[in-house]
Amino acid sequence: MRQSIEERKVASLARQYQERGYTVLANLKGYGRPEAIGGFAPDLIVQRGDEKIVIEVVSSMSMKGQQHAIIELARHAATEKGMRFDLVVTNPRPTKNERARRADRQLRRLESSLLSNLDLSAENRQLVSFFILAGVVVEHLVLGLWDEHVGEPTSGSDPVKLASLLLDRKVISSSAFNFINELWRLRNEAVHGSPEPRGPGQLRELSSKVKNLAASYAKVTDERP
Amino acid sequence: MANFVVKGRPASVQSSHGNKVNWTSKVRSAAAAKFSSPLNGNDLRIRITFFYNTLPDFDTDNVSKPICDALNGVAYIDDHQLGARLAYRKNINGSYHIEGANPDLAGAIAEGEDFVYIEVDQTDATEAGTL
Repeated sequence: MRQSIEERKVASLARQYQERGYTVLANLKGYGRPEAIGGFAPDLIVQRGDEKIVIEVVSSMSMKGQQHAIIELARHAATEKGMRFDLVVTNPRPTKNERARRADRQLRRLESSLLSNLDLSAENRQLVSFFILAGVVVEHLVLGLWDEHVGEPTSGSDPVKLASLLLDRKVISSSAFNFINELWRLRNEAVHGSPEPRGPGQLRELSSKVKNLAASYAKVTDERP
Repeated sequence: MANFVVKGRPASVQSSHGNKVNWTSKVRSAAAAKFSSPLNGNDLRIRITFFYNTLPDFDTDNVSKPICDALNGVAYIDDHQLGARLAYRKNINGSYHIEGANPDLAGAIAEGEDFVYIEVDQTDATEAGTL
């Protein structure tokens, strides 16, 4: 019969404590049964000298149903001299797909934060931070497109050069290329300390173009099987 | 050592004013149940652990500041008394072993909702001097 994740953990803890010289009582074949404490029988009771540890093993699926028992075991251990209550939470490791989905969500949060800070910089006419943020978004879009259509970009790749090659491969339109080229020029100007003065209206327009480009790129990748 | 649980998702330094006010009030009322008067020592240590369901998009350090401020006048007179401020985050649905779990902490974990666990104690003078 297949063991639950909690049963596997109880067995592994029983072995570990036994190897460390503890007397182990566990809800397992081959071990003495732990006595009820405060009306509840824990998964394990391990003892060595004056030290007595009461252990309950739960998973995300089981912990809510065991809440009352867990609290009672902890309460009882807190009042008993030499007794300690350990709570062990065990859950399956996330699969590769789950990890990938998490990483994707994290990237989307980062993108959303970058874009909202872009708006903030436009409103406050903070030219340097505006163009640096816009540059980061556009650079990563270009690198992402390159990664998707050509292969992993080498570090330090010039985004305008890559955009030009993407234009040759018809991955991006000429208007998208022109925008990227112009934005990168403005970004370099801002980084090197001589940004052209621009009003909030012009910055808002640029910000909206950056967002449209980001949205188009997200659409392309989302549509992939 | 005093420890207590504050249920809910914590406010960070960047949270809105309203969010921070609500969170401060929750922290203060949870602490008030554990501290009859503010601690006096000058080598206090605070350990803050945020148990979360969804990975927060804020830095753990940014969670500790509003909590330390909220505890002024309740857990200690002023947060200048803190010699050490430790902040952690833990996925409530991960795998971990809590040694010596008290009923409040064990109950909050079993509930499975976001919460913050706060421990305040006096650091050992010898420990404080050890690098």
